[in-house]
Amino acid sequence: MIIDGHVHITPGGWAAFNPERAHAMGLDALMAYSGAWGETGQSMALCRAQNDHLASLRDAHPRMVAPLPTAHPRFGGDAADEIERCIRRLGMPGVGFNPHQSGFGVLRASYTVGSSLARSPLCEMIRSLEVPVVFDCDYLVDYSSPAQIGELARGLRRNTIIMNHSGWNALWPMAIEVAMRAENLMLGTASLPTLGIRQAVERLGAERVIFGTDFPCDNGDTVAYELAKVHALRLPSAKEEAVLGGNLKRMLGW
Amino acid sequence: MAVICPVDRQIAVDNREGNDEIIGACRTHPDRFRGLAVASPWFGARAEVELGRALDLGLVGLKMHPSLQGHYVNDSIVDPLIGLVEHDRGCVYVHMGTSEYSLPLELIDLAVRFPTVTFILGHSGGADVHWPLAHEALERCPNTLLETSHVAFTGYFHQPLDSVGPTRLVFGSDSPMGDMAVEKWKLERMGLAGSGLILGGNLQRLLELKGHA
Repeated sequence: MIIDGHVHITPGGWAAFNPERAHAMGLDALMAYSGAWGETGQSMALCRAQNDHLASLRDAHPRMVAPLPTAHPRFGGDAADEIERCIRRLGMPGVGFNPHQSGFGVLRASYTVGSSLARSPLCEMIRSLEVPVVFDCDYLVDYSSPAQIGELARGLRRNTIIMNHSGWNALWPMAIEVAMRAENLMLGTASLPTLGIRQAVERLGAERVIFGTDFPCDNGDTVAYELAKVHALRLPSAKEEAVLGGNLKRMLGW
Repeated sequence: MAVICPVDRQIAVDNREGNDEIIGACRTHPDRFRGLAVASPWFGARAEVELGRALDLGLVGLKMHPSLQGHYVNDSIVDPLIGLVEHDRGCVYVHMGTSEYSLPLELIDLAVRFPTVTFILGHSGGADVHWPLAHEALERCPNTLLETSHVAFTGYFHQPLDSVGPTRLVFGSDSPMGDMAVEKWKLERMGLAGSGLILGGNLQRLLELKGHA
């Protein structure tokens, strides 16, 4: 079973849910979070609408969609309440963030980055819920570098943290280094060079590497390319199965 | 055929050791390899001597890795080195995408300053957030090319193909970071117009123009 741990879904537009296309590309199930990051920071109403949409897709496709709600730390206690609603009432299995596209810093605010996740009620709620947290980690370092996410992970030891993109092709060595010092941190494979995936498996163990594609962030062959990178490693079958879906299956309780 | 260059420590501090290794490989396998030299601009005159030596011994241009070497890509500290490449009719490959050190907009500034030098933007400029400016580099600077390694959103290539055509893309694998077979398969699978140029024709022509084919 191939579970894509890095999927974006919006109520419409570029990331509208398309199960037929996902299946055609070889994806059996999707762990999905928002792709309309600007909207999540505009108002709590828009944020709730996106989270409700994801929950409704899970209800319609319970074995295909693992929905991760989001919220923007700028909304303080309201954001924390929204995540509590999604986890406790809607039964969503974790939380997803894209700091740089949403416009907040993982660790701290500055006069260029207005909001901080780590110092918000939202973060305290996530800590108390002990749910998995997924981040897009580019290398826009004011917002979310591997080092920032590693630091957050060390402060949220009861949460599983997944770092999608793992710093892309420039900062992936740093992603592996910080993951060596945060046992609750897992690395996502999307946009990671093949050597980076190999080193992550060898140094962290296959059980801490999560296959992802950033679907549907492209009109090309991204999913095939991302799958080919993993297959090219010629991992023992148990390790490849873990990376491609086994780890998430266990985490999601499927 | 492959264009090869030194790595890691050799890029940062042991430039001569790295260049000698590449020169040796190119001499042993002249039908398979062309090589790029490294020279950290912080070594000043010594870097110029080393780059000149490497070019004289047959390397075809300069590999810049601004984040590893610790300078901004368009810092004037690199100008003497680019000048040597210009004199040698070589090319410059730049590792791209590391924030604040090596981004496409700054590369545009450098490419405008040296319009007769061909600059290859490694990894097509870096991550998705950098690609629009990498595309702008193609449109504003006819002396720039995009290299294809690690670009996961393969649909991205359609935009430069539509606007500037297939002569401005060059295949790269970033091996051993990237897997050669997978990176090549990625492009072949797309069935892009002009894929023969992208997979080798463009670089072949560039090397011929420089007398290094």
